[in-house]
Amino acid sequence: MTLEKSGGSLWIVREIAGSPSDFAEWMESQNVLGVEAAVPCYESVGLWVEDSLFPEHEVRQLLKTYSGQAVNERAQKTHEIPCCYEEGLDLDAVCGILELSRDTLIEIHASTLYRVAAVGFMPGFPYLQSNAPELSGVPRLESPRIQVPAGSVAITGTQCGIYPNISPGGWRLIGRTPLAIADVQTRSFPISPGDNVRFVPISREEFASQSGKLLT
Amino acid sequence: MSLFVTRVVGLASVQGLPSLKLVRYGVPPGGAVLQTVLQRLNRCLGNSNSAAAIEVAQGWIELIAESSLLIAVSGSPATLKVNGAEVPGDRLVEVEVGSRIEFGMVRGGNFALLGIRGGLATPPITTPIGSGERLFVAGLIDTEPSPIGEHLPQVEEALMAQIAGYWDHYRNIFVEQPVTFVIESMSRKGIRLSGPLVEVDMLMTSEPISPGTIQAAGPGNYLVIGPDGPTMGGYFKFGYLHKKSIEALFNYPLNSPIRVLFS
Repeated sequence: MTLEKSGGSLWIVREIAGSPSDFAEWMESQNVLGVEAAVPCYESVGLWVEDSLFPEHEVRQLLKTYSGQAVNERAQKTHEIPCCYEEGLDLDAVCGILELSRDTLIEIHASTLYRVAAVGFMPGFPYLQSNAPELSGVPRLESPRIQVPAGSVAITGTQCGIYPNISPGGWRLIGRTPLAIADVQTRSFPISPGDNVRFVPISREEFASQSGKLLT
Repeated sequence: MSLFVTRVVGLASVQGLPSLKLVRYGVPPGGAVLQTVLQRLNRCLGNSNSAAAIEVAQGWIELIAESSLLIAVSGSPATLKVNGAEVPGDRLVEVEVGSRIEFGMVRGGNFALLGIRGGLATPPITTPIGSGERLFVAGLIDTEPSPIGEHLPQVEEALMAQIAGYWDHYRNIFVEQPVTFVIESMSRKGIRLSGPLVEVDMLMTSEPISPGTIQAAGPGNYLVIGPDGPTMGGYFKFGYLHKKSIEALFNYPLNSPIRVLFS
């Protein structure tokens, strides 16, 4: 594993043995003075630190003792996220790019089990990974939208994500969930790295009736 | 003890020191842009280092004191008025209950702070869009041009930065001499810079980023992450600014040329 300083309060661990989310959990369980949070991403983990306290040498030694073990056998939580594909502003464009019919795209997307690789970019935004080659290769918009509607389900490259709130964004929107998937004010963040997500197709009527409910 | 906000123009927010408690969920660390200035202000007021103050940028705030207060200001030069009379900003000021306080019109920089003895209570966490709703406030400050005729200060010293490890093959270009960038726009989320034309791979895998991270967002376009900026990003990470240089950068006027010395 490598450890690289990446800012006044951020170090990045790369070339991790095992899953970044397992490593992040293990790192936090070590209670190293000065390490405030270990945040997993696709291939790396960010160590957010109190710079004046961070014991770089001790952490480098500690990293040598990690061999990919998980701290606990974590129960795999799977979130079922209702998704109204009719609300996907780029659905037809994405179908064109992937050369798939609407029905086929929806069927593949809704039957795919996504793994939460990271939460970031904005509060509660899950970065979702899958093994669905049929849905990969969609480029970002050439010019990002200034306002992506809250709840938008988006894809790009091999990634899928859900915008928890109105935000600028450059990923292509293929659907929208009526649920609030995070609530900053109440500190409710039900989706965590390591969880799974599955999308459940819903109609516009169901979208309207579930609008604003908080994911639990 | 409280202050009643009667008017905000531009961006005003209550800011303490950054918090990393919810960064794992993508909540940016937030905090005053000028952290060392906040700490100095707090020392003047006899507060703890982390006590929150009002941060004003390119605008002003009007308040009514709902109790007697001891206040002080710091940061870039700004106007402080109590009951309509301008008050020097280099001393502690006693304010009586019912007094009207006006603070802002920051000059020669972008951010100024108004603190009170005892500090201000802060909302527990920042909001999805960072500064916009964190507090009582108004608008963002993106894309406001500098007023025509304003004297732009000459940059005396280069800002200090570290180039990212995987940019080693560019090291010869960037570490020999200071690199000049121009500040295009600025908000608490970050700063957009124009700079050297370098071809970058736009398909970097997203990874954690923090305040001060410099991203190459395309040929000649660079972003410096601010306190309310994203916690992950997929633009190529070019390097990061040293802590003091982050504060300095946020206090340069828009359109300023800045020099950055990479190591």
